[in-house]
Amino acid sequence: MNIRYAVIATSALLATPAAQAVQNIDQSLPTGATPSVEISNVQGRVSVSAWDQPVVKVTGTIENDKTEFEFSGDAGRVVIKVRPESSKTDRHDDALLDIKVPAGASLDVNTVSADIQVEGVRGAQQLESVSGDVTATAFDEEVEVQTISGDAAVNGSGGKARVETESVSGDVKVRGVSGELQAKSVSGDLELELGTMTRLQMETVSGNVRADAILASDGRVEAESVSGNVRIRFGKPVNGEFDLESFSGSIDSCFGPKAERKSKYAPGSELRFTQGEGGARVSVDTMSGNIKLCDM
Amino acid sequence: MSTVRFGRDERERDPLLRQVAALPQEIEPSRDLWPDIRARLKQAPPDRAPAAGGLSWSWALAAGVAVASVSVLFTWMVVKTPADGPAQMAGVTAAPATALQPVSYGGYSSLGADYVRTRSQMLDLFNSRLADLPEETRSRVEADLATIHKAAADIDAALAADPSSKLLNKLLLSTYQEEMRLYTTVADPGEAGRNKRT
Repeated sequence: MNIRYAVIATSALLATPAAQAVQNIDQSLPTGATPSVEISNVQGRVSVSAWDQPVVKVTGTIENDKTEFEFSGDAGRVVIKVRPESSKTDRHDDALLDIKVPAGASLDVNTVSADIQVEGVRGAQQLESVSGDVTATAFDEEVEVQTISGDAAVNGSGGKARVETESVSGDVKVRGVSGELQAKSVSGDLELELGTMTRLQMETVSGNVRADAILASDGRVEAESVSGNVRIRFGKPVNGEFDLESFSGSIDSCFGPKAERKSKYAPGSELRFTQGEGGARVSVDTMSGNIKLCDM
Repeated sequence: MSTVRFGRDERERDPLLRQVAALPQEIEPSRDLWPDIRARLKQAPPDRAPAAGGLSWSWALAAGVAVASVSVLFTWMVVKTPADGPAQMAGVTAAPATALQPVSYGGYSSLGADYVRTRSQMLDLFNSRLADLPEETRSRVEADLATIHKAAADIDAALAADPSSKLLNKLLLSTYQEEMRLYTTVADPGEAGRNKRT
């Protein structure tokens, strides 16, 4: 039997006539061990951390008594929403939410300018913000981060999560992740310090790519950029088939042969070689961005 | 290619979306195909290489545009149609007077009529939603669109020097996709953007 709880707070809890009313939030909801938790907030902060109780607890403040706060759900699904009064208001009232969830929870968090911070949550995470910064830790379940201008940072924890990060102009930083990663941006830089990778896909238009990674024996690494530079360092031993091409950028590798001009009539250069025992495959394409490979 | 994201409500209500969600993300071949492919490539005589190469780049580019077009149309339908009535469109306002223009691709592009029409509709939604973004974010998005404009122009100029370049055609296709990814990311502001009460 589902036990449904619904709490709608639309009036000020601590209001004074002379000052702007503030809603203080302190509410809890019992759940199962692995609930899906959906959170949306426009402005301020969403901080989610895991604990060992089958309870979702929300504390925080909303700096406006006209903003609607919804906290509802059951054992399997919890919804937390902050709804501002109007989309065209000039008021800038933050909603600062600190949320505790069971460690096995999965998250779907969506904000406009509110930052998103997630710690210790082991379920799947889908985190989206327009201009807020997003910070998350990846365990074994998939982590997807999408921003427009906000920065995205994902830290690994030794698990095998598949991680996807997409930004437009925000920078993307991923550290300590192994397994599969897809990182995309238009102008934001990609800074990746990775473990052993089976699949690594990096795409930018003008952002620079700086990646450190260890190639799995059957790993696949692809990097593509129009004008951004691509610098990748691989952990030793490096065993792979490399296919590097740039239309007008330089190609420089610490191992393998020298890059050659594709044609005496065109500026393009390419470099294809097998390093060590092969096995993995590495492909890097740029138009004017420089390519640099090295070991570490 | 940008990923179309649905809210949980949509996924649970729509039986087709439930079936789509249940499909595997990818299907691994039963064995590593690369050694055989590599061996065949090495065996193929040079004069047969082009035939073995399959689609020409112009066809590949056209196919890529077609795929992007379908994806964009699908995305546009999703973000255009309110999932729960007024909430979906609550954040939409009139397009700003100085609406941003789509990326103009040069003579080496293969944009079909359907693609251009769908992109135009997507751009209208993008411009509407852009007006709702914080000013700093809006400025950065405008700068990013300018970045894609410049990338397309640079690639087009490079194609003039080497029209058959697989690299440049591949990057041109990626540029189409990045432009669309920008539109869809802005056009669908997510749950928080839709939740503003009017």
